[in-house]
Amino acid sequence: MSKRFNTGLFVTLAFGASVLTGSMAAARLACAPGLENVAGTCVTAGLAGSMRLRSVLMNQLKIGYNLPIPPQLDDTYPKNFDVNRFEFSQRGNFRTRASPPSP
Amino acid sequence: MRRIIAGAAVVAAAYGGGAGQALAADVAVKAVVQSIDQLWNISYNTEVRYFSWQNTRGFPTNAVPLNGTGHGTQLYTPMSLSLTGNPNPDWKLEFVLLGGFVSSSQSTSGERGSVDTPVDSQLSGVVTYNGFTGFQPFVAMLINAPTGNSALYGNSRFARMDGDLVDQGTYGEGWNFGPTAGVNIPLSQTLIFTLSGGYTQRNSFNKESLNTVTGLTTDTISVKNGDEATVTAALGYSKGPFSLQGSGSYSRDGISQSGQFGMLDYNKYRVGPRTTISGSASYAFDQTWSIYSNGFWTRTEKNEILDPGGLALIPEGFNSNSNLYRVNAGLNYRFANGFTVGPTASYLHRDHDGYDAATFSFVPAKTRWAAGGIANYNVTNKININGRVERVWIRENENPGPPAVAPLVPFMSGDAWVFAGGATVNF
Repeated sequence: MSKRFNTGLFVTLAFGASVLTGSMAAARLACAPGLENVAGTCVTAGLAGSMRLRSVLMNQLKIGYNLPIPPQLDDTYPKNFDVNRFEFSQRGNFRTRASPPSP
Repeated sequence: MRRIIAGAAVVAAAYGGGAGQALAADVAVKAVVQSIDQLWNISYNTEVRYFSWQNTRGFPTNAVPLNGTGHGTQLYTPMSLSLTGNPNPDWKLEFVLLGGFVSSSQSTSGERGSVDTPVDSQLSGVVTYNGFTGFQPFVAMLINAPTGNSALYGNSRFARMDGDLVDQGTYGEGWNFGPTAGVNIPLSQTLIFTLSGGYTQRNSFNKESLNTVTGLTTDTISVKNGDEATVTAALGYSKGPFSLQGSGSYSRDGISQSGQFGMLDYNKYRVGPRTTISGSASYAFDQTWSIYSNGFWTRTEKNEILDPGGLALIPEGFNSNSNLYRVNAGLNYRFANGFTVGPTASYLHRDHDGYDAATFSFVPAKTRWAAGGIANYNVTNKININGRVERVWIRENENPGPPAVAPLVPFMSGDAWVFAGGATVNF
C-alpha cells in the first residue's frame, strides 16, 4: 500500500480518534419545531442528515456502479464520477467509453 | 455526424443519462412502513425502468454497424430496502440494501448481444452518535457484493451500453468495501461544517477476454481496479426558505492491475488524483414558488501509464483527463391541491478529448444541454405520482483514435426526448 493511501487512512483514523477523545458531555435539550438537536445545538432539521449523506457519497464514488442509496426520482446526486470504469477492457469488448457516464 | 437515438432514461436523466433521441418509462412504487414503537422506519422501494435507444453507430461507437442504425433496449428493475432507527436518543442507525435485475439487448447489425442478470448488490450502514457536545461523529460502511455478471462471453458483451443512454452500462464488479468516518460540527443554528475521510477497497473480478488462437471471446481475465482514498470537507447552511450546501473532495487512486503475462497482478496504470467541487442551493419564495440548482466540477490530474517497455509506470506526457462541469436547475409551482409542476434545465461540458491509456484511444469532448419539465401530485396523503419530460441535445467532438487513423469516430451530435413517470405509496 502506498504512502498516499496510508495518509488517507491516517486522516480517517484521526477523525475517529478526535471523536473518542472529545467531550463526553451528552447534550440533551429540547428544540423548537423545525429544529433538531445536533451535538448540543438546535440546528435546522434535516441539515445534519443531508450533510452526512453528501459526505459519505463523496468519499465512495467508486464503491460500485450503483451507489447504495435508495433510488429517488428527485435525487440528482451523481451515480458515479468514474470515467475509467472500463479499464482493462480487452480487444473486441466494450473498449472505449465514447460517452463516459455523466456524473 | 448526427446521432439520432431513441431511448429511455428515467432517474438517469437527472444525472445526464441521455443522449440522442430518447423515450423513457418509469414506474416507481415505494412503500414505507413505520413500526409501532416509532423507533424504526422500514422503507421498501422498487421501480421498473424501460430504456429504448437508437443511434447511427450502435455501441461501442468505434465499430460501424454492418447495416442500418444502432439500437437497443434495457429493462431495469431496481429495488431497495432501508431500515432507519433511533434505539436511544444518542444513536441513529441507517441501513440500506440495494439490488435489482436487468435485461438488456442490443440489436445493432454486427453487434447483437443480450444479457439477463441480477445486478450487483450494495449494502450500506451508517452509525451516528449524538452524545457529544460540539460535534456529531458518524461512521459508514458501503459494500458492493458481486451478485451481477461481470464476464460477458461471446456476443453477450455487446449488451453493454452507453451509460448515458441506459441506467446500467455494465453488469458486475468484484467485492468492494468502503469505510467512511466523519464529523458534523454545528457552527450555529443554521450552519454545519462536515469533515470526513473514506477509503474504497476494490477487489478483483473476472472479465471475458479474447482467445488468441480461436479469435473468440471465450477466455477469462482477472481485473483489479485501483483502490481509492478520499477526504471531503463540506459546509451546509439552511435558514427558513433558503438552503445552501457546498463540498470539496480530493481523491487518490491506487494502481490498477490485471492478470497478464502469467501474473495475476500485472500493473497497468494508476488514475491521477481527482478534485471535485460540488454545490446545491434552493429557495422557496412562498408556499407556491420554489427554485433549486446544483452542480459540480471535477478535474483529474495526469495518469501514470506503462513505459514503452511495459515494466514500470511513468507519468503520462500530457494530462489526458478532462475537466467536467455540470449544472442542473429547476423551478416549481405548487397548486393549492398539491399538484406541482415546473421546468427543469441542465448543462454538461467535458472540455477536451481524454486519452484512455488502457485502450490507446480517446474519448471526445462533449457538451450536453437538457430542458424539460416535471409534474408531481399527491393523490392522497400516502400516494404520490410524478412524471418528467425532457428534451436533450448533445454534441461530441470527433474521436481521433490512434495516430494515422484519425478520425476513428467523426463528430457527432444528437437530441433526445426523455419521458418518465412514477408513484410513491406510503403505508
